[in-house]
Amino acid sequence: MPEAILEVKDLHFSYEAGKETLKGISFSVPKGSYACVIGHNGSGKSTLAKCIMGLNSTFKGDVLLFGEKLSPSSVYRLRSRIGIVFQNPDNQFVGSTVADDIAFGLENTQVPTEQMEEIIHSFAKQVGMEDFLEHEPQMLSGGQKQRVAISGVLAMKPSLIIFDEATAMLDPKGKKEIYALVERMRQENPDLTLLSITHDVEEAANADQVIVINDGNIVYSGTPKEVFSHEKELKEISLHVPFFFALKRRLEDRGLEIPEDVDSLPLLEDYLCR
Amino acid sequence: MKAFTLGRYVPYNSWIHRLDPRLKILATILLMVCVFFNFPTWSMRYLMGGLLFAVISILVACTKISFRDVIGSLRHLWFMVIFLLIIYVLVPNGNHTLPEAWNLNGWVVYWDSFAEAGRILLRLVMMIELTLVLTASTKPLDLTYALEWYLTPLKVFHFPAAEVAMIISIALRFIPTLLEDTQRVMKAQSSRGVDFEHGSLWKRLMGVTSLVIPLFVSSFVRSEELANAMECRGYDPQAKRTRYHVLHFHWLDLLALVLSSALLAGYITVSVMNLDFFAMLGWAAL
Repeated sequence: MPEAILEVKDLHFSYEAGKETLKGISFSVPKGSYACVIGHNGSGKSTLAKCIMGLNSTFKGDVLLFGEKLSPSSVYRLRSRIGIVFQNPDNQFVGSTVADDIAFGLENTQVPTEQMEEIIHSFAKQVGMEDFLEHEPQMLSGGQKQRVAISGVLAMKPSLIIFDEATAMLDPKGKKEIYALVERMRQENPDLTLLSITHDVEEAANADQVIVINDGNIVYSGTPKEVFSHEKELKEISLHVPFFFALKRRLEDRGLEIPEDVDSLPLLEDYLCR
Repeated sequence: MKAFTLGRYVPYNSWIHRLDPRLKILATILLMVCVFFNFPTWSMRYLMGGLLFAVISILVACTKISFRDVIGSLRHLWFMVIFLLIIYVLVPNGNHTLPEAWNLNGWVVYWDSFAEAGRILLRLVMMIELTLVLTASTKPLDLTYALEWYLTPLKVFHFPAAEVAMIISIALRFIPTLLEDTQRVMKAQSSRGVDFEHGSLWKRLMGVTSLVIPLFVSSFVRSEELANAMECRGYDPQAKRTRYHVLHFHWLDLLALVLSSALLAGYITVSVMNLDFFAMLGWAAL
């Protein structure tokens, strides 16, 4: 088992006394993996995200990042190694142009001015925004703004990137762009650990690990295949199953045998057409 | 409304655009001081004013501001013209040097009044043109950097120059976003029956309330999320930061500084020494 980048142990959190939003959450995310936390609105997943980022500091239990306990004294040090992409594309765009926004994080970590231009160019290129460096945020689409946010995060060379509902406010095209980008990031950098907090189950279909949260508790946790085999139970907590798993189940119900190694939509398509 | 930017920056690559923003602020102030000198005779006042106006007009032309924008910026001056004329014609002028314009049963008005009103109008026009050159040729963000530079000495007194500059640049960054919000809330409230354009003043005022409150709420939500995002990206106002934009002072900036200082020096000399070029040449001056 590779080292755990993020470990959450028996996490409790309440906004008001006597009413717990998180009721003892425990999970760990190994290095280089892609974990998805899913849950419908009000399930506590955003609260969990805030706890991990150190924005909710009054939780009970432990959050270990890179093996170190998250506390008010370690939060700044630990945060420099994690990158966070938030939900609202506008509210995380700090600079007045794309280049300025990518530079913002670099300025904070005191990267020398002479190196900035090159870093900005290379990371803008990674997300396909190199032609938009002088553009102002109001000239960009939501998906483009999120890509800028991702490149700003990547430029900080984090070991862990947290996506806090990063695609929730995007149109389908923007969502696709971000999914493709995340997939590419994983291929290019196998050591990068990703944690996505989302209510979009399609995103979870590609994850290594899926954690389903409902009412402050972990309901299911495991590989997408394991988790999404509980179709009926998931429906009860207002979550549906990714299209691939739903389709596979329907086909199997009708007596079709689908081999184990067919584990994505394109593969299934190939298999059926054969 | 979407294309709204503060001060109407005109994206163009003229030599004025390329000047260091710090220098542009200083030079603008130097030229503004020139505007306010007084000279002994009317001919001198108008000669020196006219010279300065010519210089400023050349600057405006170099900045490539469209003629329509220039006229547009002066549009509201007609009110000032009428006001000035009324004041100067009604208020008796003590030390007149020009002949009488009219004498109606003892109500004497000298041409001085009109000359004075004209001079003040010329000053106003020059001030407006100068600020127009500054804002049209400099990005708001560059102005912020320049301002930060000028405020840096105040750090001795623990004045947070970098934080103030950050606040200003974020405010500038969010103007278009908040305008978009405003339009969205306006449309939403209009569709719910709020009328922003018709009815009594009171009714319209109540309409505006329905716009202001949701806007307040949304901007607070925005600012909290922005603060979280900035914190997560390692922003610490007390910490030292490096800079992406570094202002450079070039020889062209030096030249511009020398020229504007020379102009100011010339105006000071002529004004303080009460020079009258017309008298020197032996012409009868007014």
